[in-house]
Amino acid sequence: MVDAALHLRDELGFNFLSDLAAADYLGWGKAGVSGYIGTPAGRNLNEPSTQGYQRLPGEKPQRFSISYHLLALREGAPRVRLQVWVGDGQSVPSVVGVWPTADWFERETWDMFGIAFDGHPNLSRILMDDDWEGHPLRKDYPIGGEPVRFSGEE
Amino acid sequence: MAIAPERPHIYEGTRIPSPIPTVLQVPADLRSSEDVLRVNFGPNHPSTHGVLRLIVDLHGEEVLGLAAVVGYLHTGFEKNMEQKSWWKAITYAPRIDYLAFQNNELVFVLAVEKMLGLEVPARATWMRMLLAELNRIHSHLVWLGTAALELGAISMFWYCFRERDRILDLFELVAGYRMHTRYFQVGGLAEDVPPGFWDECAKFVEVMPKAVDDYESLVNRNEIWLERTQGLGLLSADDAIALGQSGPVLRGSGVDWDLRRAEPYLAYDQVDFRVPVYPEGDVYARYRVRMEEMRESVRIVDQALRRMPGGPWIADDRKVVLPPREELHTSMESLIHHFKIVTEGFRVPEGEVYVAVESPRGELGCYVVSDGGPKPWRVKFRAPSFVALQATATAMSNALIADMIAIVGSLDTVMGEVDR
Repeated sequence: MVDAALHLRDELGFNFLSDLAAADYLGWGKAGVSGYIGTPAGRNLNEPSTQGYQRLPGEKPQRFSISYHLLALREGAPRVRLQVWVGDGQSVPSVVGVWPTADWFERETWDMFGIAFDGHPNLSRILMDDDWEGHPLRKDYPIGGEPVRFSGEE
Repeated sequence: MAIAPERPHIYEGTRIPSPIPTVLQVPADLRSSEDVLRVNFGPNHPSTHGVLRLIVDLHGEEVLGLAAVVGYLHTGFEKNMEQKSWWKAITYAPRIDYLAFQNNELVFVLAVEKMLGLEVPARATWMRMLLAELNRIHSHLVWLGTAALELGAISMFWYCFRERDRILDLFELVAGYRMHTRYFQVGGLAEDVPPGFWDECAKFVEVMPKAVDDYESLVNRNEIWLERTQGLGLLSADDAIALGQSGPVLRGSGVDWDLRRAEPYLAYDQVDFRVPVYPEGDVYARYRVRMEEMRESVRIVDQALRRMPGGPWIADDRKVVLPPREELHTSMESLIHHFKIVTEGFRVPEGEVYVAVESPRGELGCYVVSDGGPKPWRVKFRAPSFVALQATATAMSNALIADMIAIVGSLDTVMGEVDR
């Protein structure tokens, strides 16, 4: 992984890391949408159907993807996406040594998705509080408020 | 008569701190010294453009150590956008960067259009470019006003906000809102441009270059301004690229790079404009880049006004674009399409895409994943301010505490965009 990054930077000239974006594919292809969906057997709510999608999206190799969007600062502005697939609880080698700008991007990815980066010099939360529980951009992170503590509560 | 001190010049090679590129650490021999004072600067400080916290280690007035702490304005835009249909999610994009709202709107809309493979009419393309450039002037004006204010030039603030108000009036005229216009729609514009806009905009194009002359005559040769901006916050070209800097910060370090020219989107390949580059890499160079960009933006607006094509202002794709209002009374099909788009939202084919534009702050990217449904699966913004703040530690070496304000200000960060 780091070798691939170094090859891209030094041999192919992709010296500019534009963006590092992770995505959680938990529940991919099972998202339901509103609306009546007819099947040959009539309407069956218990059977998984395409839920109005023209076809179900293709399967993903792992739960998380990390996309490194690279740019070469030269004529034509070529861009490359380096994509790494990670399972839950797995970690990825850090590329801070290759592109220093990855520092905060990797911290953000750790904060939001809980994907650890091996060899990162300072892997801590960046956007959420240090003592925050959970990783908000995971698909299984509940939406709709956080538990409120009332005074007098044990 | 005072003799001007020798100002440091831009360095060669790299000065990025190690091992953490974004944290400046106190040198080992001074770490146990009692002379080093740790000061917490922010998060609520008027000169941090929002809620930025800087932990500074001071030795007298000298900044020895520095760490930026962000996240105080995190509101979960990206998570929220996953819960909204595509066309509702557009509303979130401008609020991420509340000074360059139309550029944010633009990048999200462009990403969705790229996935849909939607052809946008020429009038919408040119109008988007015109508004994006007005927005660039607006953003630079706010930067100039506040940056000068922080260094004590209070009158500059009032002059800049006078012109800024004219731009907001134009936005109000065209979209009905002064900020967060949500005027760009997937497929084109939300409404046609009102007829009165062209005259007002032409008046602005006439006034603005003179206003820039005024600003420059106020500070360009002002001794205090020069003292407090030249030779400060140095960032070499190599370091700027390694730290992912973009926009005026990168061009102020002598890297001739602008996405509008390198990777033309909208109609930027059909208009004539110059990309200002200054090699000094200091606060003053960034200031000069922004001033000249305002002039160039006025030129682009002027060309767009003269060459604005007629015709439709939104694509004619009934699966994505709302049908014209008058058809709803006569056409059953239109009524159904209208109902489906409003209640359920349009669907975007499965895929992922990364689109980048040159916002006033630099490369603003938008990474979007779709599963083929009516809501985005994942939206990620590459926020130029977020990246710019990573350069604070490098730019701050050998700086004094008073210069810190000027240096952080020169990076032109918008905390809403940093924390999203």
